[in-house]
Amino acid sequence: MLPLRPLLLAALIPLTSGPSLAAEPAADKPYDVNAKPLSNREFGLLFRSSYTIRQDGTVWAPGAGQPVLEREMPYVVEKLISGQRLKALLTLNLILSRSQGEKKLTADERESIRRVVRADWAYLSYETRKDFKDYFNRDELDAMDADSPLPRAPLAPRLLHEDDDGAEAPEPSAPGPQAQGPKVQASERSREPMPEERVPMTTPDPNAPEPPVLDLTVPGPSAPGPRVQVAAAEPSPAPPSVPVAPPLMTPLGIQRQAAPPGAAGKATAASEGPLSGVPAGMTAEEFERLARPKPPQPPPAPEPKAPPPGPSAPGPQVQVAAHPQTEPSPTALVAEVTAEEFSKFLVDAPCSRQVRDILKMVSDHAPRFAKDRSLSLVMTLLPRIAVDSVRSGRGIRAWTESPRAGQPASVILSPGPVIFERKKLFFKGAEVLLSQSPDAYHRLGLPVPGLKAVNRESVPSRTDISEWGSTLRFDDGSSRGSFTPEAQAGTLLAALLELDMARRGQDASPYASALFARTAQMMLYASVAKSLKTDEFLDPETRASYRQWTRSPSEFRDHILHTLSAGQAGLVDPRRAGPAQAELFGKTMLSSCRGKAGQEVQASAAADAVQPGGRASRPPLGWASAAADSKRLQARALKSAGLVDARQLDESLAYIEKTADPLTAGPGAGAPADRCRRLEGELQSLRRSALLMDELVKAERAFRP
Amino acid sequence: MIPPRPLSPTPFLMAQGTLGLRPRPRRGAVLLAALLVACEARLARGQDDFGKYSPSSGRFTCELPLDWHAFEEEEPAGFAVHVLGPDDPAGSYRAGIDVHFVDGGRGAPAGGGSSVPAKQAIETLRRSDKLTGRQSTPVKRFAVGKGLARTFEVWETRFVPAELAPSVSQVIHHFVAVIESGDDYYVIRLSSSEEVYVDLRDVFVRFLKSFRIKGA
Repeated sequence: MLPLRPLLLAALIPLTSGPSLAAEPAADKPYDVNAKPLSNREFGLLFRSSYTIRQDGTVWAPGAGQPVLEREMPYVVEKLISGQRLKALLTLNLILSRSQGEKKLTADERESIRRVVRADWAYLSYETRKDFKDYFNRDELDAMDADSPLPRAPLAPRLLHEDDDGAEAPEPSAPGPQAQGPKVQASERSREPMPEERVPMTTPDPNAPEPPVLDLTVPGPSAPGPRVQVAAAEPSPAPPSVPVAPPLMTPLGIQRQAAPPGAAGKATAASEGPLSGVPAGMTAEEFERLARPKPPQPPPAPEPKAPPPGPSAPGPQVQVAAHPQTEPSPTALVAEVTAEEFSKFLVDAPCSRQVRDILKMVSDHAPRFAKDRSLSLVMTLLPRIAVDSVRSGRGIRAWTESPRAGQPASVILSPGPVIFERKKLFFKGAEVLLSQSPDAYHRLGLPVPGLKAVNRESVPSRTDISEWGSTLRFDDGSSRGSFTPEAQAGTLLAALLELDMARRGQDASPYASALFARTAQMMLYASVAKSLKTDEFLDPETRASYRQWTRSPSEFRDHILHTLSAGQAGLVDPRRAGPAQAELFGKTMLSSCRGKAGQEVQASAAADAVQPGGRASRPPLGWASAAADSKRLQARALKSAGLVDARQLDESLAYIEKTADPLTAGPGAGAPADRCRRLEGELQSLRRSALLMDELVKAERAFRP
Repeated sequence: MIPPRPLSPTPFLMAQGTLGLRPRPRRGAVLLAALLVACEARLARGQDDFGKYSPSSGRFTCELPLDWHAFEEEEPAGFAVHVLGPDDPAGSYRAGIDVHFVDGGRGAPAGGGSSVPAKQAIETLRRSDKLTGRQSTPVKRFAVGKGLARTFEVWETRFVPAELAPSVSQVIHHFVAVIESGDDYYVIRLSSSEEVYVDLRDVFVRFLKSFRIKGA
């Protein structure tokens, strides 16, 4: 059962900020977020509690008749934090009360507790964190502490007693007024310039008129930096005539400007793209208004452009005209992020110091076109970035977790790969790189391999420096390497770019997306290598790619294509790898969808009709079947490496067959109306992908004078 | 450390206009088995399995297997045609032919600088690299229409797929041909895993024999 002490304390704190302490009338000036920016977490808490921020920077409680005063704001934030903490503790208490006891928790109950504690870790005190730390492993705790560190207590003699021994946070300055233990809280209060009296919060009046909702829209390309526009209360129907860029919301320093006429109306109509990240502390609707990129608007007078000589021929029998380029350059829609702005953001960024250092490298070394994209994504979408081997999924270097309800996207960097070499009788066997994440194996229906290097608890027999960095060697021949921060910076840049392209609906061509991201990654490495005068900071495979890109860029492109289109990766369908084929496929599918919606047979026939040669030589590759094929090949690869026996392989294949659902993904999934809408979106996305490739070619030409 | 590529037991001997295995004394059973495999492979891919192909720019024509899939793209040095073929048994590397047209006045895929001559590009493509165990065969000549192709083979060891687990070190093989056309030139490469490259030799030979540069 949950101890009563934290519960009582959590219940006490909001009471202390109640009306009883209010003595002085509200004669102070309203709080202005422009003058005194809020931290990310405070910003999210306000949003989650339906507070609104108006154009003049004032903060309004739901249903309140007056804005929050400046001296009230610390108490408002503290009240919200306490409320969030109390909600978490009550939820935990409820789960534990319904269980058979903490020592007899079922898997679901245990997972529920983990989920609640992980979600509200930032608001839990040191004592409560200590109570629930047994539910997490060391890496998870490190990641959560890095994401939500406890504030460091001042080294005052009165605080140095037995309860403070482990409360030291890794960061000297915690972002925002986070939850903390009782003694630490007291010390924090003593340091903060708090007002002497408290003013009660206005009670929400159900009959009061609804205040205007915060509507942050998009600045034009001429905006010098991150700008957040607040729509006026009366939206104008006239749309802006300039191309609009995705917004840059910097909660730490919100700068506002007058919204263009009709911006609010456009913002709702502009939401498209397959990925929807919702930052912590915001509802999906709020984030829709805030940060969803708008589709590129056609320029006022598009210049006639000669079609490029290359990419328009789909195959011997199929000729498709090049699509008209009526959209502006994709990167031209990205607002510029200056180094100063990003440095300011990093000071209070919700990530560990290690990740901040990596982000700083991205800011320092990324090429211009990629820097603006990646940094604006970090400042806008607030993805969770962590270095965690357990959550790295199938990725050798990084894994991107799609946004879920109420949670932003996550980019998990791997600290290093597991390296295993299968010994043969007389010859040296092939080396295999593996992930430490259990998810990489469980999704195949396989247990985690019994290699010592995969198990975090194993003790290495020795440590040395190899081409894979600082390497831990284990008795069974396996080893665990490590990536340098410079290499991780390139990996993170590529992951952020792919996330950004998905957010903007520019990822319909996986090959184009990967090429764009990898090329930017190599440009970053070129900048780092120039400063370090060596490329030894890269692991062998990444160094091979980097040298290939440096010396023979065409080989680099070919290698990406041949690996992405292979079955194990399963990312590029060879029948529609090119933009023209993909567009033709999309159009055929769309016409089939519109003509006889709901008939999967028609869609499949359309897929076959795209093949060069005009004949169906094999059954169509669906999204789900490609994913299942990829899993089967992965399982067989593990079997070939000697990590899985024949029985486990059979079980894995049966599991993959059982869990494969042909109607859960791909163009044939969903209701007919949704299917058609999705296909239309993919066609638009394909056009943007083609522009992306044009931009990449120009960037590479500029990079190689 | 990526293990160096083991020496190929049967390196190709590329002669004028022909590509074939170097004859070696073998036992009768082995020869019979090889003959049967070769006949089966030839029967599997008959003459009718190829079709004519020309990119939209019309710069060249060639013959491609009908079940391979071609597309074009622009790249910094010119443009490229990628033809994707069959996957390897492990599903880690898809075979394919890549044709890169290098505009002599613009740049080159190898070297990265401005206009690299064909000979320099060949040397770059034939570079050795201890890191990947990259090595190449000597350059041979091969008749292509009225012109001449310089052909060679390259082996290198790479982790594929590079970013996803399980990533296995695998030997990748490239048939390479460089065909000059005035100041411009074409770099043609058939890449595949070493496990299947012998089966694709005929495809590359037929592709090269049918390769015609428009106006040449």
